[in-house]
Amino acid sequence: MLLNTLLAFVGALRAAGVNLSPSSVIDAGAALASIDLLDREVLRSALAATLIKDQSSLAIFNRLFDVFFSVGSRSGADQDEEEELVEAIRDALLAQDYERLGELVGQAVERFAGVSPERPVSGVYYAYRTARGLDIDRLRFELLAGLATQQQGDPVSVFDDADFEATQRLKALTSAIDREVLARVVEARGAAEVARTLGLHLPEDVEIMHASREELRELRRIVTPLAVKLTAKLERRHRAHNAGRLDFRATIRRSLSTGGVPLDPVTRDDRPMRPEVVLLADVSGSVASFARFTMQLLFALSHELRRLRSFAFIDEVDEVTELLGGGRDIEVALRSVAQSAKVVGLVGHSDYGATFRHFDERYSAAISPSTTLIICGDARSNYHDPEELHFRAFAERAKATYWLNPEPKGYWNTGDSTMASYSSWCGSVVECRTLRQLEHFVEQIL
Amino acid sequence: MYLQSQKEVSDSLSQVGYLPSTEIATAVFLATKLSKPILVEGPAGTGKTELAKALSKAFSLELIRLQCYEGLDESRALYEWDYRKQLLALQAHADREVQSIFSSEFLLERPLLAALRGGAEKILLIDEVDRLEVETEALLLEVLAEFQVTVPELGTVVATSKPIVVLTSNGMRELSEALKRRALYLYLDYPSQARELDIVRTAIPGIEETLAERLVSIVARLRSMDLKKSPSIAETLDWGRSLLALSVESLDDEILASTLPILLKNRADIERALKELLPRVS
Repeated sequence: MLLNTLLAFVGALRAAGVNLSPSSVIDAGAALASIDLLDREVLRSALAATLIKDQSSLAIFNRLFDVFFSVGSRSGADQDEEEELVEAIRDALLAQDYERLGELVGQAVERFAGVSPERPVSGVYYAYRTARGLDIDRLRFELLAGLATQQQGDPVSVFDDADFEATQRLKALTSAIDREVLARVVEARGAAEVARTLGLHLPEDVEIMHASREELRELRRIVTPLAVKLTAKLERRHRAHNAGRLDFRATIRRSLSTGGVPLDPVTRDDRPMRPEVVLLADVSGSVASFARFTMQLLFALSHELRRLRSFAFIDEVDEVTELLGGGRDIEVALRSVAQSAKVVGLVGHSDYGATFRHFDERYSAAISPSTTLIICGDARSNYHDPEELHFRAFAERAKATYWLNPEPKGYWNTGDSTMASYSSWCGSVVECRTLRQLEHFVEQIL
Repeated sequence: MYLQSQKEVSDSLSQVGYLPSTEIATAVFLATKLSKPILVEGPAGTGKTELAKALSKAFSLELIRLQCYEGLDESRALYEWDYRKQLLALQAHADREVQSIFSSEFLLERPLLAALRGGAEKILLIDEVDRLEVETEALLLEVLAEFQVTVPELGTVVATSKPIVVLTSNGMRELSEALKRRALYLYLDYPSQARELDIVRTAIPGIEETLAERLVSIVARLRSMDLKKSPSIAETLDWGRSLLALSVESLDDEILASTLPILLKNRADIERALKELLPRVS
């Protein structure tokens, strides 16, 4: 029974893209034999220690663990009136009594969500209904008031901790609701079925254009560590590439200590050819987050590049190299790109044709025969003239031109997408929907 | 070492002042049960190295530490032949068999070998494995999986008692699959507010309750801010100790602003934190 659950759990983890070797499954089985299975937290820790091998899959693990090893609280004490229930929840939050909170949330879900096995929804709907039933906004307000009275005893309450505290505690409430709803949905429809409808992905595999706010936050967090790892990988590659090229002078110098016999040959450590990159990124609404990650990743890798110039555009193009540089926080810098760069001309919708015309007129000196030109955007030009001649003028001059398109290949050249007008002047057009694809591309060109 | 449950680990560690979460205690317990190394990853300053030290203290086992760095090789990680001694031995007894100078009396133990030999159980800490080159990483595999070292001239040295192995990594690069597969994985994140409060209380006995709560809640806020470098547990403790040394009883704007550099070591971070924590001052 337990083994079957474990195997189904492993199956769901694999389906979500987590890499699991048979030996770790065996370890997990062995671990189950030696721990206290009734302690849920211990069970979770034991499975995490044996099954998971890197941090990026932990989030998926935790979510699926809730699905497969869920226990909803089943306290039938339903005598409370709606009003009393809300009050009890507020008091539990104020007292940070999370055990009581769990019970109360169980009642709330029972009352408000109306879980029925027929509806093929993943639970977001029920969680929403529960939150609405509890009137979270009012609860927040009351929580703030409650926290303020609690802090009265404090001599100096200068920083508004209350706001942060209230947010933290509401987070505890919403995650309790999510867990509870999940437990009920699983009960109604079976764990494997629910795991499928959740549609979980590793952060690297999330489609950037359709990512939720939470997912974008997670992505933002992993871009810089990703760049660090990529740098290490590139350096290793350069080193392996150079190994074997003899440095004659250094070898002779070293041979002096062994009486002129070159016992220990020295190999040359060449500086690798660092490309000079010009990035031209569409920052309009639909593809803004994609542009953002490309900028962030290239910026984090800029010591691997001879030079990096970045331009942002919507229907007007502006250089943002200065805004991104200067040792400022990349988050702040990217925000200032949105605020102070002149990227909006007449209409404020993407106009690739006008952009390339302006770029050709104003910044054509930026492109030399040693430049690698990277354009990122979906080539959706809102039915404006693509003006491919201007694009051709500078794209042909560059050493290499790459176009990163965040849309699936099947969508190119449909509707107002003018990918075909440009693709013949590009060295290659790359489909770049996820961070993993972006990383792969960058690794290829560096 | 025989342990009953993760509870035992948790109690023993708490007694020496290291408060483990359930995850930590369970991972250590399983490591002893399954005889596997633990690979600990996580941000700097969350107590990765400290865990190994605390284990050694809690179970009174000798701690052997191998600090990894680029260029670490066999002769500094595993063993080396003491060639000076070998030369001397050959000169002293000219009739000596060459084979006889490759015996364990001429072997210099390095950390990995030392952890396997000598009878008593030990804690082996392999610190910052991610600093090793991929090729050198393979050096560890035999030790980690089989608890043995093969010395060509001598044969295989098998552990008399298996050490508890703790590997730490800061995630500077992806570790090889081979290494990960052989180890249990433990991700040490920043602690929850409640656990950090406990840690502060245990580590700084003189601190006042309200101040400790304040401290921990501000640190939690800073960590939620997406800073370049979030404050670590060590930095929280430093801050608490400094406040105690300054005999601060309650925090106010001014003290917060002037002591923030203890928590944050980056100018952009400090500016950003001040702006969010004290909107009226800046």
